[in-house]
Amino acid sequence: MTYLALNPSTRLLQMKLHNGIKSMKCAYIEALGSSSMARESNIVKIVGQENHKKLRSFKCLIVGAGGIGSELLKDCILMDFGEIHIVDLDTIDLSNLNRQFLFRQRDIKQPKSTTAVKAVQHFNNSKLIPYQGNVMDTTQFPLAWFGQFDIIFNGLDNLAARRYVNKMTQFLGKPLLESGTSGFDGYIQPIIPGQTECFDCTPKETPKTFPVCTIRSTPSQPVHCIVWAKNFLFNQLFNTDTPANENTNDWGTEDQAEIERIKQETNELHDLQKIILTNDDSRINDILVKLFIRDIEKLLQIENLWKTRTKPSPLDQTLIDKASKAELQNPSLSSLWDIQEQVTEFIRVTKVLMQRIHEGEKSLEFDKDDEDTLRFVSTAANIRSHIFNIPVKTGFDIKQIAGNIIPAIATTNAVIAGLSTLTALRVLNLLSYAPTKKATDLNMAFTAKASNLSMGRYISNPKLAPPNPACPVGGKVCRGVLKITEKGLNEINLSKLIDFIREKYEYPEETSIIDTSNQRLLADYDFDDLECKTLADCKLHAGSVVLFSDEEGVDGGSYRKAIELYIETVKGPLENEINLPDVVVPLVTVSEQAPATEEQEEPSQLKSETDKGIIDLGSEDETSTAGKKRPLVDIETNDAKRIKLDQDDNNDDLIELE
Amino acid sequence: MSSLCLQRLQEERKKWRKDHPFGFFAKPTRNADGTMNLQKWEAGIPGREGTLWDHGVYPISIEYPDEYPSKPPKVRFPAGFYHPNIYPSGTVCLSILNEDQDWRPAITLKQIVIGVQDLLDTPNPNSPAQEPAWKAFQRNRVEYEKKVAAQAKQYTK
Repeated sequence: MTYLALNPSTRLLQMKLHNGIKSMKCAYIEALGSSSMARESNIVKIVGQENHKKLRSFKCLIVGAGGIGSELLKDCILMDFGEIHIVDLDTIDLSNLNRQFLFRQRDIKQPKSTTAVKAVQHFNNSKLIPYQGNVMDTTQFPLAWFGQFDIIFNGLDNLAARRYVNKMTQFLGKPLLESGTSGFDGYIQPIIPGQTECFDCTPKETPKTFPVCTIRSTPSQPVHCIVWAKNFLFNQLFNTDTPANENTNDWGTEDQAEIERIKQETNELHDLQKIILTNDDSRINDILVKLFIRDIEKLLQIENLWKTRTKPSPLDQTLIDKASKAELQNPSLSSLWDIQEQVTEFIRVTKVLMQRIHEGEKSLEFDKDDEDTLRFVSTAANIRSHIFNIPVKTGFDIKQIAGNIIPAIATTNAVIAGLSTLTALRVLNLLSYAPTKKATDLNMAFTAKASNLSMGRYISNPKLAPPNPACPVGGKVCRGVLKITEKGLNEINLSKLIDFIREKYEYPEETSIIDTSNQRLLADYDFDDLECKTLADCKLHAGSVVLFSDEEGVDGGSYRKAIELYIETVKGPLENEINLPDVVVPLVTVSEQAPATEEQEEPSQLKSETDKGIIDLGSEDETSTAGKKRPLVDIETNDAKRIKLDQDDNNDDLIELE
Repeated sequence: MSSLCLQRLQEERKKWRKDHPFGFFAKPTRNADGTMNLQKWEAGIPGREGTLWDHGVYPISIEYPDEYPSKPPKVRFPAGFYHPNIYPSGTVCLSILNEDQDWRPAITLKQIVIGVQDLLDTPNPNSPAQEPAWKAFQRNRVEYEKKVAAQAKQYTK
């Protein structure tokens, strides 16, 4: 069975995945129960004596000890990696236990990495090294630390860390096994720097956000009302850290009456907070009247908003009057409540929250697991939905939406981690009967059960693509490690560094240098104020990554490719206290054809619409735990998107006429 | 922030330097440490000649989110800026600045500022963002024009 699952023939991959779950489970149970000797002989059967020795000498890194990370750790141990390092910054939470099978109730609040390592000791035959920390922390994990590994596995839950680890492996030329799951779907992608697409070669979807006008004036979906209740109303009422006024000196007008009006508008909601702070629960009705009657009446006066939309209907005052007398039912979160129940419950729970603030909780924040806050957001959202003729939701539905919960499925994690570690054998070229001749012979894999993309197939496994030349990480920049002594950091000034780089890689006169760690432009053709400052004064240090670009071009049509340098401090001695890497930075030609966008000037008529910036659905409380909510990177969709963008570029109708 | 965002912003700076419309200015703001913040720019929009807005140069701030250019930048006038389609906070509502409408990653800084300039003299009464300017524009053009003229004077170079 195990042998079959490791058969590298791509045609078999689909079939064997059907058996994959089963075989992983079998292997797991068998291995856990058997002695390490028996396991070793299994691995030897698969990779051969010689390659087994190699495997024993390999060091791997697992980034993340959550849903996928736990699985990866178990798999890597069963595969007999010589040394396994595992990093996670997080501690164990109750909600992890359903799938992060190495953890038990008693482990709650313990660090994930060390707890995971303890939990696997009884079936472990590898050297295990756990770290509790953020993998993006350059002090704890400098580039050189990543350099010790033969292969790196990502079991992450956020874009920023994925991008960061991807970039580090691009600096080092180390293979990376990227992976992710979302509900029933998941993917793995081996990344061989310079030879195959990297994580940033395809655009990634960003979390959905909503224009403020939709939230504040014209909601049309339940989620709009939930965002309003959670991000806007709840904070205005109960988050006492919210400032009452911003930009108080900059009104842009001298008309005193006008300034007063703006102030009033900004302060109206703050007045509601004052009601909360009085702890006078007889005034909760005033809040209801203001939010659900007066404000809606005001909106109705702007007739233009309702030309193409269904008009909202202000809440019936009698519902509020009745609510004060109604029996408190405390209805269940799993049922749909009628509007009277919503109003009654809104009043009850506002009282409770008011009391909590009065009793010393100075400021409240929405937390999906804090039932009072959930009930407040749920009732407020539903009353608003009712007003705007939008379907109401149960408290549990609202908990899912407001808490940004995507169900994480243990089986998906197991399948994906299994695929990831199996593919590692091919990446490390340990299967003698199926040698990896070139990196683009390797496969990525993604499942598409939920999205039905693959027409009845559970898994698709396309071959890896070569790097995208337009990729901002791999394609468009060279990279290397700049070595410098502490003395160098304190003595070399910025203009000298620029000269060194310019000379070494033959850049022209006009260049720019940016600290990419925090997006600071340090100097360019129009900006040389800092050139006399030392690198240390420019706040460059070990772990900083600077991007150096040609801003002029060489010989007409071509320009020197940009280079990204990772700053590493060394004890020395170094000539000039600094050493630039021997990287060939090629000249690249720019196509003379101006981008299509250049032609789209002078839009004749712009469509204006009510957009007061963007509200984020909110960062949920578990951004850093692996396995719960993470962006699904869907390969097919991304390709489709890229094609669409290219087409857009040729479209001259930039702005719609009204 | 993604590498894409950073590289694109530097590209925008380069493009703007090579070619920007007459009377406009745009530059990244300074960080406290003297470096430049490519994610937050200041710009000046001149009122179009022959319109009520002429002679004024109106200050805006342009903030690029980490997800730029997937997501549009946020453009703001000073709070309380008088215009039917500008929120009391100063935020501009314009279809090309809305992710759900006409924003596309290829839209450049130049197109944005020209779009904003255009909006000044051609407000859209169907999407009110503030009460006073919108009401006056709809019902009392004389008062509207007086206010706009006064504001132009305030922002004269």
